[in-house]
Amino acid sequence: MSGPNSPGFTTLALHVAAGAHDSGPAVARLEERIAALEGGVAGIATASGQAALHLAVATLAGAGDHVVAAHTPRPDAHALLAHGLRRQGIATTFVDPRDPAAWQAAIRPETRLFVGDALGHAVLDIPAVAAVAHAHDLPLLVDATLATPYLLRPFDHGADLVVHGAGFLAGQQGATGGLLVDGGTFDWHAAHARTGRYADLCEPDPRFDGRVFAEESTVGAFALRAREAGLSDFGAAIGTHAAGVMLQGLETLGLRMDRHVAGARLVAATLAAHPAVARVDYPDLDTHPDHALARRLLPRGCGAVVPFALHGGPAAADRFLDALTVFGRTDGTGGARSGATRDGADTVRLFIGLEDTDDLQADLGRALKLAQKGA
Amino acid sequence: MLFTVNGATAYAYIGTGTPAPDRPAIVFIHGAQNDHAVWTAQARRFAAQGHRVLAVDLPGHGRSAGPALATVEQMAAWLLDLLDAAGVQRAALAGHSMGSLIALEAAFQAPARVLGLALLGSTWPMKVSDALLETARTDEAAAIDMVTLWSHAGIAPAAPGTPPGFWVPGAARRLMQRLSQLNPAQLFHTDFVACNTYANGGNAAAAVAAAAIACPTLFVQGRRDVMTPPRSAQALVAAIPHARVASIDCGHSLMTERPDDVCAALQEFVRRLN
Repeated sequence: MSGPNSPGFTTLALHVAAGAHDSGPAVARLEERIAALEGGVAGIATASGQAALHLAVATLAGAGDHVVAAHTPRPDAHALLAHGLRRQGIATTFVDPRDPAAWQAAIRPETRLFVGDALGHAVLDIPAVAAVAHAHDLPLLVDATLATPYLLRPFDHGADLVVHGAGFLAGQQGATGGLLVDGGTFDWHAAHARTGRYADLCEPDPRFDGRVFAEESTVGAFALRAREAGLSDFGAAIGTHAAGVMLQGLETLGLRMDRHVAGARLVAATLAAHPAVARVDYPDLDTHPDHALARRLLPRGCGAVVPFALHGGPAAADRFLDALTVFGRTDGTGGARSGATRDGADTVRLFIGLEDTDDLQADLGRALKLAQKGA
Repeated sequence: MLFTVNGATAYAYIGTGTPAPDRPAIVFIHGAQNDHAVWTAQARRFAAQGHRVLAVDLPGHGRSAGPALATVEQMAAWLLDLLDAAGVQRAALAGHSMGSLIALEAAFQAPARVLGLALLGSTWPMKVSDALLETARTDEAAAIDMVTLWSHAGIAPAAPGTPPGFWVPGAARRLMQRLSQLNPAQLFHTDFVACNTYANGGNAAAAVAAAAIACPTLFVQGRRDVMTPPRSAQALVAAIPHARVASIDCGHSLMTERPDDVCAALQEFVRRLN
């Protein structure tokens, strides 16, 4: 893991480190454990991944401020940035995540942070985007939901903040909860001295008796303020039970992710070789434009989501989805059961669960054949 | 709050609260490759209770301008100059690790200005192993990882951290990395050499012992501290016979590992100063 070179760290993703406390409030334990898994300084557990993203943006930006985001986030995250936060006066410019010049060109004086999803149709080039962000005294937030701390260490590559949804961490599709992690890497005090952007963290706050969060914690000012102000204002705290579910899930995270990845690799390779398939967007394939980047950032694999496009347009995609029997028709990720949904006109998004891969392959093969037949 | 000491900017965290005239001022002094923030839990609480509080950044550390001072004697003299700049005549000094040597030396240099000494994670002589010294000189990042590991009772703490959600060893590591970033001039090595070569500890302890009434002394030790093991501090503790010893079940990073226990020990100590 990304922490100090110690025995506990090499296995933290698979097991709980020896000596970790296993009593006490589940929420506090979960927050601390995700900070340890990510190699950050502090975690905040929230009611959902959306709430974690909202908390992060709301901690740094208010009405009149601006966010630059990759144009590829989860649909929910996109909606929050494009509509929900816009209503609150926070504008977002969406850019092509592969184009560092686009990130740079979108920066305005009122920009407060960069937001990108680690893994989706594209792999976020965290080192390149972070370099642009840091050159302009901006932090980079990475949504690592699909990568999990087992596959990706965003802070090692330059990210400053990370959010997660509960799915993979809990190992249950319907799990609720989210996590926001402060990497402790961004120097708010220096950035504020140069740009005046982070007064809420770096100047006396009358709301809190004149406390200055960046003085109280040299590396954890963001987490302090997010908890004291944002979490209490918006109230999107996690419940004890949901936190306990995630804690339990974390103990098997590595085992499950290895299995998800093995299944996804197999499925992606099968699809890529199939005549009914026009394109497969899985970065593990050496035909994917982000293949080399994925090797570098995600050496353990590219997650469990395989988007692909069928020949034959929307009608073929519909026939394909209707023919599936093992894959469910759900867009939830992270659990044991595979699912398939529409993702754009002729694109299908597969989530590879933990089932026997022979069953998955057979289901896909049959559905692809039926999708072609109707053409 | 920023001060000017010997023409250079010096920073001290002062907390929030209104100082009460009858409460002693307390100065908190951090250790090697650290800054004031390791003392936030304690400094904030004392400030809220009406104590004038100064949690300093030593020169070259955090927000105080560099270069880092090379000896404990220079650091103690600087600390006394900072007290002048802040208009603090007398104060209790609480020092951690290298900071405990600075507090001890300041009590030697200016006994009339020190109301009491709280020495946390302290020992004398404060020998730094050759391996760690060399690593700090050649590979500061690796030295930071080593010290992170050795300064905490466990890398996965045995109880939830404070403030909530903070992973204490991770925050300690990032803080040391930040100090490297702010001051790339081999800060860790400079601090370690200062600890390693401080020779006046015996004289200072004898002076404190002679001023028993004037300078109440408290040792706070981590029972699982392997950086400054309580056993290694036996000679120093014995040299100050009137000193009291409080022992806490944690490693070397006492203030962040067990903030409430350290607060309680310090509050008990400060109450008796009155």
